[in-house]
Amino acid sequence: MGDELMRALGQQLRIDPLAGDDPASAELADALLPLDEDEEARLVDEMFRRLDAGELAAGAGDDDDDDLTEGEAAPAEPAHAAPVVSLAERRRSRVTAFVVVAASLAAALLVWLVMRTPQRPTDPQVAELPEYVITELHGGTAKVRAAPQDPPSAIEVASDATIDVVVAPRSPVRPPLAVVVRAVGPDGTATLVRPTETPKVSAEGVVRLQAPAASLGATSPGTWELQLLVGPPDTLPATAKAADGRGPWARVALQVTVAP
Amino acid sequence: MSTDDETLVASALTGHRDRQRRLAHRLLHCIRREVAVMLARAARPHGRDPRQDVLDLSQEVLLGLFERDARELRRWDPARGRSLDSFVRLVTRRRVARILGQRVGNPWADDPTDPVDLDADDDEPLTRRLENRQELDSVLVALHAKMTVRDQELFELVFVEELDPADVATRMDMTRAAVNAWSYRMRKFARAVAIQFDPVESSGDPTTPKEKPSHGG
Repeated sequence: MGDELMRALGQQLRIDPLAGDDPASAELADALLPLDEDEEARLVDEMFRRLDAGELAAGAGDDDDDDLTEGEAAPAEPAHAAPVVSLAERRRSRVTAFVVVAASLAAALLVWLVMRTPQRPTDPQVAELPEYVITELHGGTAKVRAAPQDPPSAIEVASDATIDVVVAPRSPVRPPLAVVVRAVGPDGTATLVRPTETPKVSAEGVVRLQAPAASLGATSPGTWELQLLVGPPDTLPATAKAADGRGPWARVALQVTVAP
Repeated sequence: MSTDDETLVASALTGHRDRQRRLAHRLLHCIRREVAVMLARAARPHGRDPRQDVLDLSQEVLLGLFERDARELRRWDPARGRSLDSFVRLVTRRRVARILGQRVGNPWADDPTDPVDLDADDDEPLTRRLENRQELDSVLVALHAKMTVRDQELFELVFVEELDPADVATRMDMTRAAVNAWSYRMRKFARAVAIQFDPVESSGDPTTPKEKPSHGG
């Protein structure tokens, strides 16, 4: 069923529509002439201004995570697409501004209420997450060990080094588990990093993470404290501030000095 | 596979603005080109400045990559063998297809489709009619609007590169049975979409939203 159609669609996707000699293709190909520096800078500046303002891009959907590999679920309704308007002509209506302000106030109120409510983990496993310790740490020169036979808790690495760290719970923990890193830089600034490398997790909750120092947050020379926060994926903090305090996760700190 | 890209993305994900900015500049050309490709496929209406269209849509794609703590960007997994440019092209296709959804109609919301039609064995006449009407691109745009990046990756491997399902399974860290199940669902889904663009099988105007078809089971 559908083989002919899928063959045709696959073949169509292999065709570069900009390579045609029709006027529309030529017009679009012309639109790709290099931007001058100012034009490109304006576009990127405007994008970051919108990012900082908390704007969401047009075309985002609530079904971003629902792919057809999961069960028989039908694709969800399409998101309502925002009309594309010229950057120079972009204007927010008063109604939109009112809605945004009202939504922001509601969100702030919700955050305030949540912060006032004592945190009570609902999952017994989360509540009982045991202490984690470093069992292996490689990738650089050991600087600090508790005992000669112990793994180091501080290492010095080259800027392009890959750090290989294994942390284990004092008692077995059931997966799924994920890791985020609270990286505290030489100047004391903390950032929260989600490593792009997926950690390997054993059935008993031992976690191995192999990632470049930069991917773990140690992005420049100096001494960094990398706090690995291990826990069920949906319980991990989303911001560096949230990661600062206690939570339903285990925290293991290691010191990484990135050589200049 | 460029380890420079991996490093650049990793450093941008730490939230440092100057590194994010470098990444944005690095990705801009790739995004602009794919935006133009999607506009060409969607046969966007005349009367607008195509350069401005490309710039506006490129900005939406860039914002989509960085918003929500760069959730979209974090989906890039170089271990799967897909380069950063290739990943960003998939993201661009999906995002632009969704934005263009209003212009090319909403085939997902048309008449309910008879399940018998979806299971029909012979789709050659339908395919020929779509080819003759040059509607295959419209079907692709509509499909891209609904596929996740993972669906798009699978689509490329299975239907564009026509790899063996076992190879696809290895590349995508799936079982072969899961790849086959996905292929079946995608065929069914694509047919349901294609029907909306076919005047013979679709009774109404494909740009007129009515009711969502059932794609289940």
